[in-house]
Amino acid sequence: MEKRRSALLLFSSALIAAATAAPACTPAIDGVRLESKSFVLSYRAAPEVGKHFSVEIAACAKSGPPPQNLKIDAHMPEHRHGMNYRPTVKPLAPGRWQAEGLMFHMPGKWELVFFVEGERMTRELIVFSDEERQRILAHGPWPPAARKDPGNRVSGKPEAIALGERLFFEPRLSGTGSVLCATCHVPFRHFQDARPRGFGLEQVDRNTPTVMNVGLYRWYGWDGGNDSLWAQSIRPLLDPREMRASPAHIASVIRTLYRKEYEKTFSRAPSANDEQVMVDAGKALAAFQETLVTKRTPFDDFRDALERNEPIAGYPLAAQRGLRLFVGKGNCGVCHFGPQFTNGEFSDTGIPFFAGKGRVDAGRSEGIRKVKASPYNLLGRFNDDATRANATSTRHVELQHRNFGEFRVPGLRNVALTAPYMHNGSIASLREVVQHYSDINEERLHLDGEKILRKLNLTPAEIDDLVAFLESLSETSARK
Amino acid sequence: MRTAAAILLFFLPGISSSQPIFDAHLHYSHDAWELVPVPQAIEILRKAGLKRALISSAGDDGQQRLYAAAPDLVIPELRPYRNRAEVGTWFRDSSVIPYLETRLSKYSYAAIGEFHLYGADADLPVPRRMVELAKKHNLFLHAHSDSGAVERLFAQWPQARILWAHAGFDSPQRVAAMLRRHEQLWCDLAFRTDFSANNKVDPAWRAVFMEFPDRFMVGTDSYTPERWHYIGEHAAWSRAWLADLPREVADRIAWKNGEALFSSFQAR
Repeated sequence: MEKRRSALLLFSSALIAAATAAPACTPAIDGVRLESKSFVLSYRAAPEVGKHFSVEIAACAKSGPPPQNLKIDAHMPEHRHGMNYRPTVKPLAPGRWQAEGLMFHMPGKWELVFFVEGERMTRELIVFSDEERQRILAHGPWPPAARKDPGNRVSGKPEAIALGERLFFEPRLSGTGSVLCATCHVPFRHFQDARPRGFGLEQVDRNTPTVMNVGLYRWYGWDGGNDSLWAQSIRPLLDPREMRASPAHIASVIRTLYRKEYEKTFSRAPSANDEQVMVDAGKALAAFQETLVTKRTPFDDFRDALERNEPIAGYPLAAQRGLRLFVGKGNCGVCHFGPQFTNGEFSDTGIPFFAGKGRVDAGRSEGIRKVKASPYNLLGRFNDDATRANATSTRHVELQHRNFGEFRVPGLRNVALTAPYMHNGSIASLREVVQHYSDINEERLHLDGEKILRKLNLTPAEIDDLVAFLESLSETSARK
Repeated sequence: MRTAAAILLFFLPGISSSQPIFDAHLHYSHDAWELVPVPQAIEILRKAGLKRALISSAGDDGQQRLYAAAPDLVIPELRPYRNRAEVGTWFRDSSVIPYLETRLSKYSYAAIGEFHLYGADADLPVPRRMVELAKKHNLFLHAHSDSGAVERLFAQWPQARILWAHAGFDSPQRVAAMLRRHEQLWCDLAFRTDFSANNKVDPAWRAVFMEFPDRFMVGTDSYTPERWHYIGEHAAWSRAWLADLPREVADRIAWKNGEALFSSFQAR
């Protein structure tokens, strides 16, 4: 395989904190830390594959004077060979060195080896090819720039966001006065409900997806049955299984309980037309949901450092190995593409779609019919974009046989926090999701369907790594 | 939701839902038997307005169960797979031949297929013997193949009658060329939508349909149990795009070609 022309980058990550006591000395540079019986070492490197690079190294003795002798080498354990070049080590000061002339001539898993006064310390490194690097960079930056929905004239308007937030938590919008949007989209559950299938007033056929990052979608719902966030926000209000309201009821709540807020938002009194007021309520709800954006994640820090050609500490090696599988062998990034980790479209991934005895959930094929027929689609009169430029997808979407049983390719941000998984919540854990793709039942896939959906036959270690990577796509509580 | 009315509104501008359909591409494999039991499967076929259906299943028992329940509706074909996992290996597996021989001695079939076979694999010993069995029992070959494999099958048996599954997923021009070259080649159009958009037939495909009105059939391809619930929708969709063709051509593709080709089996 010709890899030389690829600019490959090596990124090392911090040593996971040793279970033993804190080191007895601190090296003179801040980098990846390694520890042996007698020494603590720290190094910094940001090499590109196929190019010579240097390594800055500092080491100290846990007791006694600084070490004087250091050697460095690297090899690929899986290939059973090392570098083609012998590095030189130049002392800079007591306990500090600069190694020159190293080169990683192949992408993959490398091991950097240090000998300090004969004591061996190693560090595994994942070296990404230029192609892998480009695929990784395509998953950012995050967060994306805020954008307004041209089909919603109050998108981004503070008054609309405030009204939408109140409506999101307003049980009186439901026909029974007992359920609210947040019944299923629970804030402390990352705006989903952790149930296999949603339950408003009755159980529905599908899993409740999070509404985090929902402002970035092209289609809404597992079947893409709506083409705007405001239209999608109306859907559960009217569904008798979810909130069981009517346009007249919703309009009445707005007119009687939220008149002032409505007037501030829309700069007019609520219309006498119930449907118009209901759509406006949907647009206020959408304005609020557009503000729900997931925080940065450990992956984002890693991805940005990769883009800046900077070394990084703190991104687990297992996650790096999993990332390499994600963009490589697993081909996961083909569908889970871009900063949101979704191409925004639909796929049949071999998940059974019977919704009950003798009943199927037709998924995308039903969604296409619904969106085409909806009075609230972007081709209709409620779209505030007079150019209808935002309706291109709706105008051109075509129903095909393969759409039967296809469901949304969900984004993966916060995926570790939003179990269970799949359109019907039929898979409980991330590990089982990865296992599903590893063992995918090819009998359920058309031979002339999506070619990348074939058994991955992952090893247990590879499954661990992919799960570690997926977990790194979730925000941690300390992050802003 | 999912009402027949919604389907009709979407698919059926101005054609009778009573037009018969001969579905030339159905499967009823082991995983379907429990989820779509025989009485329900037959009901689905009848509700969809199917006049008859050419049905195969990995393991063969599925279509036998259906045939026993509705001999007027079901035309069985024999698939050379005991399970679908053999889809990519059967043509090198010599145990397939005694399996076919046993089934052929026990049951009546109209065809051997649908089988997946590409390029030079068609000349391997197992497919060759399968072709000999088809010849011996006077059966159609239902080939999910590229044009190369189809050519090789005809080379083995020039008088073969081949039903080309999915029209080989090939272009209208190449399909037309194959049909010109081989008078005993027919096509099913299963799992394709490229010949029609918004119920208007693509001009290139229209030319092929008009040149060869007696060489095409429609088919659903129920490759998972769930897709049995798509048969009705597929029939409605087929009626809708066929309505853009002259009525006689539409009728032939919808059902007359299937009836004509497989009438000898029905007469047994």
